[in-house]
Amino acid sequence: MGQKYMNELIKETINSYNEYLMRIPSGCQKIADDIRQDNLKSAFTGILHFSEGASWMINTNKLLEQNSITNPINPEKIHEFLEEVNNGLEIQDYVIVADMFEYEIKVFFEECSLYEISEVQ
Amino acid sequence: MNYKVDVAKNGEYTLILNDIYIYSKYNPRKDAEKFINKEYDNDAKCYFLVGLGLGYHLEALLQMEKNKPIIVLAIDEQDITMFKRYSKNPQMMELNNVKIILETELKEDLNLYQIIIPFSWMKALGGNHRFYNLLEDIKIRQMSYEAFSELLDKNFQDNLKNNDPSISELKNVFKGKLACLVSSGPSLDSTIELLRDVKDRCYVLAVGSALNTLLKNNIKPDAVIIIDSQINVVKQLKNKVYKGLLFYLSTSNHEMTLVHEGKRIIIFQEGFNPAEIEAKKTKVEVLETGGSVATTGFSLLEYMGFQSVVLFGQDFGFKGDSTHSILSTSRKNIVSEMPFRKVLANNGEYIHTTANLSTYLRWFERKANKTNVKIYNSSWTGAKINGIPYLDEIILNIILRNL
Repeated sequence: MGQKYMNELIKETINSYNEYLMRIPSGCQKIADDIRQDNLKSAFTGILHFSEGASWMINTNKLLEQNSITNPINPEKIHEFLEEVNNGLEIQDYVIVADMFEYEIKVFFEECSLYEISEVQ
Repeated sequence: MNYKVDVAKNGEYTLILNDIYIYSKYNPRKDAEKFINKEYDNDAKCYFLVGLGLGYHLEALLQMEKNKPIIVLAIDEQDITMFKRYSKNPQMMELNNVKIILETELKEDLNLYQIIIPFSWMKALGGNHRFYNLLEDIKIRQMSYEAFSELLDKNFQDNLKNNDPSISELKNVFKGKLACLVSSGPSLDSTIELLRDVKDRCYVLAVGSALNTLLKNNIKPDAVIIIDSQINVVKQLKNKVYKGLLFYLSTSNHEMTLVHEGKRIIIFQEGFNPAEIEAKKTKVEVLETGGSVATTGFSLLEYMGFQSVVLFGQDFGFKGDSTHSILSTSRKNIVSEMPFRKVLANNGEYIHTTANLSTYLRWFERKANKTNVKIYNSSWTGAKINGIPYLDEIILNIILRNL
């Protein structure tokens, strides 16, 4: 695979990553609002998408790091969030789940930094 | 009831009941306001709020509505004690339009009220609480309407343009006759032969999702009933050889009504305001839907005057994740907002069921108590329905002979 093609692929991945990261806070707020307003179906769909998206972010972050592009995101913390969300869903304490998304997960992702495209040579 | 008060991150009190948070542990007042803002119906004449707690929901409701009567159902004496002790506004209970009651004092006709049930109260009370079934029935109805309200309105407007006849012409036409109401629960696969044996001696009304199973088994129903508002219900009729009678609810998916090539009859339902208005205007009776296609189907058969109704494939539950008959167009893996629970089947085993199915089961049990129609259940592996006996092939043949 040529270096040029590789760089393009990395740039594209970084763009997707950044775009996704920027959308997470509003998505978290929507999940919390949906739960607090009893739109549980929509909230559960959002949670499913979030857990898939978060796993994709962790993997992407790891792959970029293997290409010497670093931007630590603390995957352990994300796994911890997902576990707490699961626990809340299991005992059906949806207030806890809404709180998690609005006051913990959203804040966490708001503080995550975007990749600089210029990092790619 | 295990009440525990905690201090939220913003310094306000929050409440935990039976280990479930009733309010947010960050912003209890603000989050209760969000819920009430969304629930509040300005057109309601009075409000019935479930759960007193620390009063955040009541406070938010009073901000929206200062004059109309508000009844708050306190869960028990301790609920009132906690409110008096920890609410920042205990004087709310002294307001002229606010009445705090316990279950024993409940005498009002709830149909007159907008009933507001915070989901967290329901969860905290738990399935064994005496209020739970009642609250669950109401909550499921509300959530299902809210989720699809725009679609229901649109379907209703479009379906009126069909200019289809109403059910009036069929009132009490089948007095003394027997009908089979065929649903698509997994047990239909084992009772399909019995249905084939008796089909020519009775009226067969199939719910849309059972049509495929019937046609594949060379059984042509006398009519099909569909109430689903969503587009995927189209597949129940599309490219099918069935060109017979279709009953559909006024809010059923409009595309589906257009796909059907046979005669159609529209049903106006109780509890959906536009349908009630239209029915009154055109002097047509409304039917009680009970929330599912089978419950609506039963209301229809009752209206048509049948003396007896035999339920086929009406399981109210399933083993594993087999929710429907193998050939049913609705067979799927079940995903529920409320967890699976177990229910006793006619064969003595326990099967899985969901909150929705439990609601419909309770509807049939209530109906069995007050209807003049004799109802029988042919589903051996389906849930036992109190007041509706299980019937096998021999008894069904005896009933048919005696009609």
